[in-house]
Amino acid sequence: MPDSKPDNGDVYYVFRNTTTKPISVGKRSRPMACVAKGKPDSETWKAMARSSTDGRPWDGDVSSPAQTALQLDKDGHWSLRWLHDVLREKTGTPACEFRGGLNEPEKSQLLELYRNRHQ
Amino acid sequence: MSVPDVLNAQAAAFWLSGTGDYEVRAGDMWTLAWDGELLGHVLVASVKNGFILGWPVGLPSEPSFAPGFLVESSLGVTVTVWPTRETGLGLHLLERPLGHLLPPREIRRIAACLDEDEEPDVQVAPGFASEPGNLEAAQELTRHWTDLCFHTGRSDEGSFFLSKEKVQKIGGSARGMADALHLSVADVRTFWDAEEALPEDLAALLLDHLEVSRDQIQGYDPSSTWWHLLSHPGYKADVEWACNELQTDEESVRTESARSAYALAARQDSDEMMENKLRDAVRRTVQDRRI
Repeated sequence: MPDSKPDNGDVYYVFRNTTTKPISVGKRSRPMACVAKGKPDSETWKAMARSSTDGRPWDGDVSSPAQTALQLDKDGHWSLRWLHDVLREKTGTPACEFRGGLNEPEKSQLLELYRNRHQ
Repeated sequence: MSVPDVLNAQAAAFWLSGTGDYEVRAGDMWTLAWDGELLGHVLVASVKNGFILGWPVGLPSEPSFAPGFLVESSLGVTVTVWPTRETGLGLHLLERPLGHLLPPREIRRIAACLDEDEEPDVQVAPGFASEPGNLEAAQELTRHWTDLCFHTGRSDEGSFFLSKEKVQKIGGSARGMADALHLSVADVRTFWDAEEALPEDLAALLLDHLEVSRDQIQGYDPSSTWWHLLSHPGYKADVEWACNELQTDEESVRTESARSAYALAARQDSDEMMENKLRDAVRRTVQDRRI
């Protein structure tokens, strides 16, 4: 099922479990995009989360307009600050819901940000 | 904080003291900590403005298997580095520098190979994630480092700081705000000047009175610049000292120190003056509580 097999540029919403440590969790759900789908037998894929409150385009964050089709209801930014892994086994489940693919040029800009991350 | 058991006496002493060089550089290994709790070890893969990209590092007592690879560390033990688990991390988590681990050129080479789905020429740790016991460890690695990624050090995000410029632009005033909130002008001054966040109940009253959306009058926490400056690991020991003295948490010390430094900041402050003001602000959090 395509929902459970992320492709670069796919957007998912990841819901976090209730925790007693809010300082280490932040928001309960976040939109994130796949920036490196990895090998099929790897247990994770690489995601970059999107923020609608603390984007820093002057530091390279990629602007992302509100897009109702992807349920992104505010303007935001994709940032390397929020680079992390997502468990493949959760992908496509209610804990990690597929929302759709990014359009151009946002998709290319996001993937370029990731590929040039060590510059 | 207890020293990892796998370290001999000399390594343990080094682990406790660190190198003393708090400049954040690609290729160096650091401890990560918050509220006095060791959260892990990391290799700085890349330094960004206000954060790093880090590769998790495991000590010999921790799970080790491919695609993690083995490196001799300045602790005198072989550590496992996880380049495929590269994670964005706030500077506020960096605690002690433990010396150089990999040259930045090697980091870029390994990352480039992995980006092309090629195997980098490194000493891969024996075993695989699919083996019994390792799968659970791999999943826990993912959960833990994702938590660290989203560890912002603040639980007040989303707080409502007023932008008086935006309010004035739509015809509002401090007097009008005071009337709407049934407070005195003196009472609303701290919210008007964004010294404190507006409580949600008052924010709702104000939004209703002005008939505007949140975005139309919301501003930013003006002390956030100082908070970000304080997140540099050069201040971590000062913050940890204050936490120990006050028996309180890092978030409280950092928030109070940032607001105190902001209140006393001057536009012409040099970098050195700003650094001194930050350290003074941290010390004041202790002194003020002792009065």
